[in-house]
Amino acid sequence: MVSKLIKVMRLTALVACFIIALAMPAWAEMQALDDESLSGVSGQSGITLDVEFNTEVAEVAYFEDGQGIALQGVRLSSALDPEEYIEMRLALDILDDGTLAIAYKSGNQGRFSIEDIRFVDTPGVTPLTSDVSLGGLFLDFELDGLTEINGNATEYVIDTVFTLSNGRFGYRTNGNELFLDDFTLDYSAPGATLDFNLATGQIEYTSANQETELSVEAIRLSTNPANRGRSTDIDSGSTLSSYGSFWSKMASDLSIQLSAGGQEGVEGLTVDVQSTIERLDLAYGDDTDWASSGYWLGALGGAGSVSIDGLTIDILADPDSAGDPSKDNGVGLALGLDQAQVNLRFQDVVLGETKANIDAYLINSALPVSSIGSVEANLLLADGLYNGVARTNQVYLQAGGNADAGPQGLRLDTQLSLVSTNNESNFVYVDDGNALMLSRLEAYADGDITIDITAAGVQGSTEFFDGLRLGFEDLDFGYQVEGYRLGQDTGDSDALKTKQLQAATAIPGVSGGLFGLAGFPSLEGRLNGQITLGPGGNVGDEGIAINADISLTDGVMAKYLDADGNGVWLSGLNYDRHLRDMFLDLTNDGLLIYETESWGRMDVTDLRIGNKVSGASFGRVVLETYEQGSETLIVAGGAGEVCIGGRGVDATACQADGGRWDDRGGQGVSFISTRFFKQSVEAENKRNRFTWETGRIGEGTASVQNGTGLSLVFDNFTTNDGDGLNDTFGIQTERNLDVANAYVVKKAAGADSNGVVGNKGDVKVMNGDGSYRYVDPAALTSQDLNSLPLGIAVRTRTQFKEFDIDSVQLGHSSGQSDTLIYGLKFQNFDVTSDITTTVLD
Amino acid sequence: MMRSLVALVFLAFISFVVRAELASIDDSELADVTGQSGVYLSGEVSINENGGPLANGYFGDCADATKVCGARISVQTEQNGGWFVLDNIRGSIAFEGLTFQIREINSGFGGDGALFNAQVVEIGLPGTLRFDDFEYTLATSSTERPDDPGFQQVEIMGVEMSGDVTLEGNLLIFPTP
Repeated sequence: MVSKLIKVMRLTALVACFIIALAMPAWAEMQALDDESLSGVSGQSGITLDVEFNTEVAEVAYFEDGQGIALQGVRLSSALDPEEYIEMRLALDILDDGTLAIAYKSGNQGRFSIEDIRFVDTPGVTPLTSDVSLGGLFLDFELDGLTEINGNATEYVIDTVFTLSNGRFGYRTNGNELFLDDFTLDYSAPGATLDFNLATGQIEYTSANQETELSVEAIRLSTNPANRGRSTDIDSGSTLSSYGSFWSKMASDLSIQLSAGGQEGVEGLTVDVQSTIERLDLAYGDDTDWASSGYWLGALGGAGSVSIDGLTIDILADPDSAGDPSKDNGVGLALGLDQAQVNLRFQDVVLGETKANIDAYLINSALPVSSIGSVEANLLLADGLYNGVARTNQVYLQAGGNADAGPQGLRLDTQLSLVSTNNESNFVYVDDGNALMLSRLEAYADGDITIDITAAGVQGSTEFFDGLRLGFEDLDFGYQVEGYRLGQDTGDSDALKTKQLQAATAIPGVSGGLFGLAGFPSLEGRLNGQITLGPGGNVGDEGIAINADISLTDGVMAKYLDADGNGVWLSGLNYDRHLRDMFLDLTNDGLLIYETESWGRMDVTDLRIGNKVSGASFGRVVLETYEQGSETLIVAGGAGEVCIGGRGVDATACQADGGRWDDRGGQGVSFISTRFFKQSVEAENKRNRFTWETGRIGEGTASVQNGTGLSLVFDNFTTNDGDGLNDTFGIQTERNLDVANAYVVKKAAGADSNGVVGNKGDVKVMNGDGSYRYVDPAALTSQDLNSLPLGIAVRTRTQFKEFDIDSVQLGHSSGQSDTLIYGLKFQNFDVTSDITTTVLD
Repeated sequence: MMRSLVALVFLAFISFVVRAELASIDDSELADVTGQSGVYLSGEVSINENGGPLANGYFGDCADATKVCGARISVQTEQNGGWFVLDNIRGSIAFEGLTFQIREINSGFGGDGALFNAQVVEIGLPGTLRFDDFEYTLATSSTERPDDPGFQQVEIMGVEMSGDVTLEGNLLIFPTP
């Protein structure tokens, strides 16, 4: 009986293995099997099947604990014509050692499609088209591969190698499709094992040497409902717009354990995953021929590990159904998590390189590339506390998406908790061997994210744009770091955790990225709005077009954050930002971001010092901006060689002029921007204005009333070319960001806050063990100069021909205002600053 | 009265969003100050070292003695009136040891510290500021731009600075809305 049970389980495991192998996440390099293996697949003693399918299934459903997820309108057919057959040759053979060998080769391009994915409580009920669904999926493919299955006393041993070519994979909602077009996937996993572990009750799959390579020619969008998996529009015949190309290659090992039972009820699934990534390269290309034409953004030389513990999969009712019925979005696929840890480091992040150069670099890493340096992310997702509130990780995949977008779409009722009790979560950036750690990163999110593929137009009360739409509905979120740690890179980020903690500051060029939400020492608030990513850039045919309307309310942002939690806080922050046709393109110089039109408003109820809730306030500040045609270029490489405090083209000339020569290396990152501030359009709430208000009713309390105090208003600031007519120059700013040596001079004789003694004017020099000493500047050796403490060096050059402020007004609590200044003009500015920030001892 | 207001606004603009109260404090009062975090800044700021981006009948290359190559700030305090001008602003300032941190003030200051009992911004002055050919001209102008028709400018005084300036102590900025 037990033997029979084991056989059944092994058969089940075998089927599961097959599914896993076929559905394995992808990217692979085709790995040839040896002659000995291939010799067994001779066709002499096996069976060769030429098969043709055109199969349509109304519904395939999986039920657990009374709730089901149904794949509806499932079809396997020819990709070219769904009424035609998919053709496949299967060659099955039993090798001399008992191995079952299955060779498979497509005779044409096949298509596997799912019209709708819905949650149901009764199988086989014909759905209404208005019933909400997750949307549809399709996969086009031609397969050519071989799978060999052998068994020993304890497990199946499976060798798999295949190429999926002529591929197309898409997601479709409400007649709009986003799909990977013309992709090739090479995958090999020799020696994978599959077993049912009787002791643990788990199905175990391991693949010790799997390699994947994925090449996606284009990522396309269709907004014509008549198109289904086509590269060209069925009506116009024109090629569908593309976001660009994608390529990745990975070598890894993988272990998966599947257990019965989820987080609730008696049924469900629990998954544990462990993976070591030995090598990972990722790249996104824009207008590329995959050789010397077109440019790429690449994350190269990646390595790390991923582990997932206790990922539960259930079909459950919306948890809001009991407590908050207005947010009940029905039954969903519930993904819970005990813990997930990701540690991943990329040796080089390159900008504006050709694929040919990237390929050459991957063969020989000594070849130069336009690299900003190395990046490393260490993340631990687990239950924890954020600001004393318990947070967890749980995502419900629900049907419907945005309510106005149509019945198809995806809604993620999301709870995320990123913890860092012992600095497990952090971010590291390495510039020429100098490392900067954003230490002890903690974050959470709680709210709804919707995903739809949309077409431009107004539906209901919502304006949609062409592309992949990410919607945010009452998404509460927060993130914070404890500060920065800097030190020489050893390749082991744990070594940085012992470095001296430096207060975190907003970093020019970095802070405010990602729609004004990322890169600050701390930010919390409630997010609503949308970001739509469409195809097509401002340069060439490919690129990414972004239209966004973001609203952050009840927020608090730190511009500066001490290790003890004191900082400069924007409390009571209400922020909105709107982008129209912002284009991202990769060029020879780097990543070019062009904003056709953008406007926003940042309303800070209290600019606080110290504690973010109770700190003393400078009052309310409001910054409104309106720009057209602004652009930013992000370039690999920082300031390079600079002369601080003097003038000179080389070290000798610089020092002769009393300056200090500083070589900041070839890596780093630069942000080159041009901003055009335009005349106000009051009817559309688009304006440039800065307001400072104090003396409000309830000042200093939680119930302060904005608009009741005395305000100073700098109204309608604009740029022009110095003639008041044209505006082609704008405000041009180049920021060069490096992690570099900082020249720290002791300001007073005696012991500093760490008890290290020095004389006034002595220079801080780091010792090998992380401690430091003070050295008389006259006694500094070249080794000392190479051992200066590290800091964040920002060199900024700002130029503008004319910056005007129409008026400066004093507003009274009565509502009246007086004009203090009738015009304020700044002309002919070219300002360069070079500031290095480091820890204060 | 109007000039006072203009001066007030100018100061407010330079400090932009902060309102500051300047107070000298002695060592005993500093002993009441707690907190060791903060950042140390070093570097330089240079303005129009090689001229600005404008090239017209008034602005031009620094090598052209007939042109002004510095930056210009002009303020109109009366509607349709003349303009106060800071003209030809250029030069550089280098410093080592400007510090920024948050301090708690809960005593000292003749008893006011205990009443205040909150955090302030402390800017530690850098000790030495090195001015290199820093200059500007204070003037009045008849038009908003120096290349406008009818432009007339009266230069009131010019300032040029080179060398080291010693600045010691701290600047405390008290938030008092």
